[in-house]
Amino acid sequence: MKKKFLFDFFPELEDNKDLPLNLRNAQIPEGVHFKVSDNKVIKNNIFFTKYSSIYEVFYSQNCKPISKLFKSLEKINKDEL
Amino acid sequence: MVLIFSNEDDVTTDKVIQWLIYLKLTFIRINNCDKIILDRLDLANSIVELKIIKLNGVNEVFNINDIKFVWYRRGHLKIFHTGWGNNWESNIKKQIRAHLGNELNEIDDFLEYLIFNKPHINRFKFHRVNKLISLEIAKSVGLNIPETKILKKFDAKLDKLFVTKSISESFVVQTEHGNFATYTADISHVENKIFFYSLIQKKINKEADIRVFYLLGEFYAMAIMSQKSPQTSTDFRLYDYKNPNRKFPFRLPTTIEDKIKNLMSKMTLESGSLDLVLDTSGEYYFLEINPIGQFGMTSYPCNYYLEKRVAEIIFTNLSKL
Repeated sequence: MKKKFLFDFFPELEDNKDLPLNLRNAQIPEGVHFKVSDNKVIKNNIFFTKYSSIYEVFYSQNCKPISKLFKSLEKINKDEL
Repeated sequence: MVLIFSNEDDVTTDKVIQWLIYLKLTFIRINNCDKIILDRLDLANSIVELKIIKLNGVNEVFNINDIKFVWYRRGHLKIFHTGWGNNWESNIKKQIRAHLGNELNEIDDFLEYLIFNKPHINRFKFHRVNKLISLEIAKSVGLNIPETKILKKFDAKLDKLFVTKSISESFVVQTEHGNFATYTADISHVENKIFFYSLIQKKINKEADIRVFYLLGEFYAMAIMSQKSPQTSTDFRLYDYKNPNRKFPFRLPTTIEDKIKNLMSKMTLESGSLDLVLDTSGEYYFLEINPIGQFGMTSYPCNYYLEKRVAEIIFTNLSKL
């Protein structure tokens, strides 16, 4: 089964009584992360929002004001970012 | 001149600014990563000059008294200071550092007082809303809220379906495997299990999620048909990209709007994104408010042009002066 939740990767946290219940459901958001270079998830988060047929891609947690529009996610690569 | 507080990567701010430029308004944008320096403070001559040092090295200096309108979108209002050195471990130095921190806090408080005494949309002081306080106030103005508990242990059998969520904001755990975000999740009863303080709420039999952008008495609501997909039925932010939730403009009943107006007034908020739920029997439930929440996600699907509306409100306020 594909690992999805935080506790799938860190099973030692499972029975920790110092953790809140909602951490049980912590997961990597689908579609938010994608690889921009070989075997490497980009360090800072990349988020995208789909508006109709246009994808808007922007960094969420760094200080670079990058926001670009793309017609498909396949066309996005690290050079364009 | 308009003063805008935001984050460097906030796309919504970029779009409002495009409309401000279209409306030929001048503005200063202070981003979260900018350094704010108090350049000059002369009360007798009404001069309070701030220098903003941008990431790209560009400096901007302005007098707060030239600001006519303030939009607090996001970010901070803290004077930057670097003169404390790294070797401040002795007891005396720790005391002095604490005192210097207090001195700076006094300046910060004064600047906040001065800046947000001007016409504004939201303020730094209320950039974060306490979920429990907002639920308590919502209840007091007559809005329905879900049955809500903070528990450390299931010491009585839960006879209903419950969900759990963060007491504060959503939390993202950064790991070498990726970043894990917390969502609202269904929970099942586990006898005698002990855990950290957790917010649990009775699960509402949803017809739709309602996201409302509130702006100075105006309502822009959107229905999200999250119940159509098992992936999004508990939390619509677990987006179903293959079969996206239908979203459409929604009109709240006037009685609910009046209660929300009352709630926003009691919370001293001019603007914010509210999460409501419409249940299958037609009742509305208030969940939470985020004063700095994204409103692009409401603006685009519903063609509300909210970024333009924010700029127009700023323009109208300046025209009255």
